[in-house]
Amino acid sequence: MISAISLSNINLITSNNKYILKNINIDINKGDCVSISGHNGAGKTTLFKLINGLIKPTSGTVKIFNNQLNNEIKKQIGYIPQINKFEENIPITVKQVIEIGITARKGIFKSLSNQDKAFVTEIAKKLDIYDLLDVPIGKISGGEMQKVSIARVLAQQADIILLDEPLSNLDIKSQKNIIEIIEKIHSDKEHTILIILHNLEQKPKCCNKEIVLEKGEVCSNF
Amino acid sequence: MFELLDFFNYSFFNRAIILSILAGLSCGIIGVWILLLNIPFIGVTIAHCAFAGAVIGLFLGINPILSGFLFCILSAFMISPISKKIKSQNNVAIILLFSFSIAIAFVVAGLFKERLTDLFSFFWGNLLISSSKDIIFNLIVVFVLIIFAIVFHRGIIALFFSREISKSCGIPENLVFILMMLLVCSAISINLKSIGGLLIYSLVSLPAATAYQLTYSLTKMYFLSVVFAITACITGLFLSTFFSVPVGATIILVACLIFVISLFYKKR
Repeated sequence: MISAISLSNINLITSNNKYILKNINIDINKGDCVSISGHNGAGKTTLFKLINGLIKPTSGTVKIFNNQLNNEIKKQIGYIPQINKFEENIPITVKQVIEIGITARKGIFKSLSNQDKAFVTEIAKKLDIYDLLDVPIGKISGGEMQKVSIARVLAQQADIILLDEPLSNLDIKSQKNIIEIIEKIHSDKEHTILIILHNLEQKPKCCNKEIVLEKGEVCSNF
Repeated sequence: MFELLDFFNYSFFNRAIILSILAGLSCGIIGVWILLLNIPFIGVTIAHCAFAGAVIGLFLGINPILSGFLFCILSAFMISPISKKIKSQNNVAIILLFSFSIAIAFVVAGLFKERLTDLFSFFWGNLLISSSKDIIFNLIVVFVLIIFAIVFHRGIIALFFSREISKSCGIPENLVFILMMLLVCSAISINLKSIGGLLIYSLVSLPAATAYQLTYSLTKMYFLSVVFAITACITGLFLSTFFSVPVGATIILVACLIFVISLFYKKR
């Protein structure tokens, strides 16, 4: 089995000597689908930010595919934070957001090839957001924004996908739709998916591991 | 009308027209950046720090554009460390730097008994006293800005969307942001003399805010922002010359008027 994410002896301590994360040891293999749960403030989002390098641990190591985190390795991690509502007037379209995934993969200086543009169209059709490609992101719903974010990480061709509460603030129909999409993405076992959930009953069927955090510590990992 | 056309017989007026176009180009572009990066208060603070730097430069006999630029850079990169030190959001650091820069500018101005004309030009600007050297420097800044906006276009869009997401997937967002801030500082300090330290931020923000009302396309927003900034500069220049009122202030009044008119148009 190939190790996708390995967290060893991770501690994250604030300047007031308060533990945000304490003695975290987690190993996730390629193709795993892991649900992460815990109360508010348990450290779930912080754990994601450690994995994608937005936060550095006070001690311990984070390895992605047995490599230390760097900008090259980060290209393999697709991060979907909790929905943030954009201003209605923002002049950025759905297509431009999906293309950010390609920018992450190819670098900021390379222009989009016809193949890239076709790839964006293909992903948009697959996620049923083709009609939204030219719509400004401030004008789409929360469920549509989640699909756009998923499209962005698919365009990035990220091996690891981190979804932070992808179902929160969505209506039941959109929640089901997003779960189906996650299950479909995972069906080829090529992607490693980590998903933070508030309600474990909403867990996608494909989840084969479960991590529960409590006050910054892993209280169950199976 | 005849009198207005007569102005074109004077080289200083023709220089002012060229400078209006260049100022419109640079302020129009950086205005879009500041608005879409959602850092209006950082923008206004570095503009006023540039003004303070220019006044101090004049007082010490240093090139005011250079000292304005250095103050600008210093303020842009001091906001984050000050915020960390006082364990607060950026806003407190911004208030501190803004207040300090305005106060120091006026204290130094109070000590200034010589070169009052130069000093006042940095307060409310004067396009009509520009030199060929000013045009060359402006041309260089505009050229670099346009090249940067084209070459870094993909990175800039990623930053407009989310700096956090850009960083998480390996896009060098910090580098792009620092380069953008350096260019913002360059454009602000180079236009201090022609537009004025107290008004430059209005020329940066108003045309971009007007364009924001009218389009959902980023390319169109750049275009409209530049067009509105140039229109404000040239119309303001003509009106101020005709009515013998300060140029910088007239330009900003025109920019305000364009913004108000834009409110009556629906976004397409």
